[in-house]
Amino acid sequence: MGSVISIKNLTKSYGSTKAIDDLNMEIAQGEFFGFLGPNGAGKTTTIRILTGIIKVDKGEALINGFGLEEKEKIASIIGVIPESHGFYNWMSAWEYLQFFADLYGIKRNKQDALFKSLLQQVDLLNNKYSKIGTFSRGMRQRLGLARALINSPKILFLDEPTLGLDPQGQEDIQRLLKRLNQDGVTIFLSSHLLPEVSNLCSKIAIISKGKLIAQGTLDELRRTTHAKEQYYLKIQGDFAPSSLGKFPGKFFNVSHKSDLSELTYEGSLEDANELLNILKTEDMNVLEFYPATDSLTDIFLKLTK
Amino acid sequence: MLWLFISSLIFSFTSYLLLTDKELSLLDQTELLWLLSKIIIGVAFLIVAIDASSIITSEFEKETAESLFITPLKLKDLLLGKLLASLTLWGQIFIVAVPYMVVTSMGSGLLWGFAGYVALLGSLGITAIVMVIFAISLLYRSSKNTLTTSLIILLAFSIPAFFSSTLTTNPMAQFFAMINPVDNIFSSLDNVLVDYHLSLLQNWNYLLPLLLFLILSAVFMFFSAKRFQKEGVIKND
Repeated sequence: MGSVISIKNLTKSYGSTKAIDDLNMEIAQGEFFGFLGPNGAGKTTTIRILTGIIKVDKGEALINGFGLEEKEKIASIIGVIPESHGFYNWMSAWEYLQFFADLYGIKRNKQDALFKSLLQQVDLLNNKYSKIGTFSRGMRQRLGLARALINSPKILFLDEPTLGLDPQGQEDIQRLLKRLNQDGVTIFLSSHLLPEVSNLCSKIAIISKGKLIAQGTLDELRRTTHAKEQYYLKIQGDFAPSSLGKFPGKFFNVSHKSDLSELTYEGSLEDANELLNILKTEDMNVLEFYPATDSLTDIFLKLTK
Repeated sequence: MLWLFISSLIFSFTSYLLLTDKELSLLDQTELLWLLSKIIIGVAFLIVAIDASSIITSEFEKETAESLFITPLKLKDLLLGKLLASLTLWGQIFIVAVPYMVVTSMGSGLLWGFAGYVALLGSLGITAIVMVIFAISLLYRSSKNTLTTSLIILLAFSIPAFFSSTLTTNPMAQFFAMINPVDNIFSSLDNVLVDYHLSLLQNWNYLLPLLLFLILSAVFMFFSAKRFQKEGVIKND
């Protein structure tokens, strides 16, 4: 599949601080792309550059084939939930959508059906005539998503869309995003909620201090952080790795609790099998043995340390 | 709505004083009309300036600007829309002022000249001042700073206009009076209502500087908009 977002040597500075430093990324059509980084890493700046809110200093980006200078063309094919988006509190949800539909040039005779469908998707149809000022944070966020979908975007940029929502609110938005992605919408998601990214995204990029430090699928990122495979072992009895003498690989996180020993072994699969054989011959009862995989949080912390 | 209520209160109070107060009612009717026209224009300038100071900046302060600019909306469309909103407020103030103009000009035969010139001069002056305020808004992006600067500009224009008779001997003051839009508006109204010079040709020397001010305001807004576009919707992250 071709790239729908192509970023080449993107650089942006605020005074002497480089917010984005020579960023290169390719995002394929229909991808659910997670964009991670610590606070101040440049995630919001990247999204703001790609959505035409701020100007880039150097480099270029193509959004569905349009250069950043073609702002109006880009605006017509993207939907955005910005990091901080205020609402017109005196408007009703319906009036708010109408206001933005007019800005996108959507004809009035098509608006009613569109708004009903959007408000139904975000579960706000019963509140369509309520003032936004009376909405909870979750309701506002869902209304923001309805607004972002008003022009049936090909690409959706989301900057912390579930921030501050309760678990149910997060779940509702995630379910909706999954469905949109299944319908072919490319999603560019910036979030601090790593389990959310891990659960939703097919590809993940991590940036730190404006530089891309890793990108790929979750498994590819795991391989980036591990030179060798790791295996978790739980053994009955008191086991000390030193008793094996010179055994290839490394043992760490060794702990002894009552009659149990727990440890992590880092080495090749062949060596791990050899280790199992040795333990068997020494009458050690191996209760658990499985590959130890890092969560996205572990990977993120390792890469951004 | 509140602004319109305030306007009607000021116009009622002024008209009542002009028509009933012994000292003021001794004024010639044309002088009285000139005084009321200055009040109408002055009140409208002040109210529209206060309103215009926050009409753009509130989009930044309430964080709605980013949502607006991710749509295909162009900056010039936004400015035009906001300008129309400010002129609508001026239109509403003018409509509120109409009954007072009718009552005070009864029997003078000046109603059409009075209303027509207040509408024309007010529209030109208010369009210009609103464009200046929009230019400042795009530079500051803060309603507090924009309002303060706008009021200072308005005061700088208004104070010499109200006290013009004491400044006429000073060449610097004469030059300022010549280029001051508020002064030109008041002088033109004087020319129409007191001296009965009703045709546009008889007022061209006041209208020309006003038009020039309008053009300069548009140029200022244009450059401010250019700078805004160069900086981006969000100045700093």
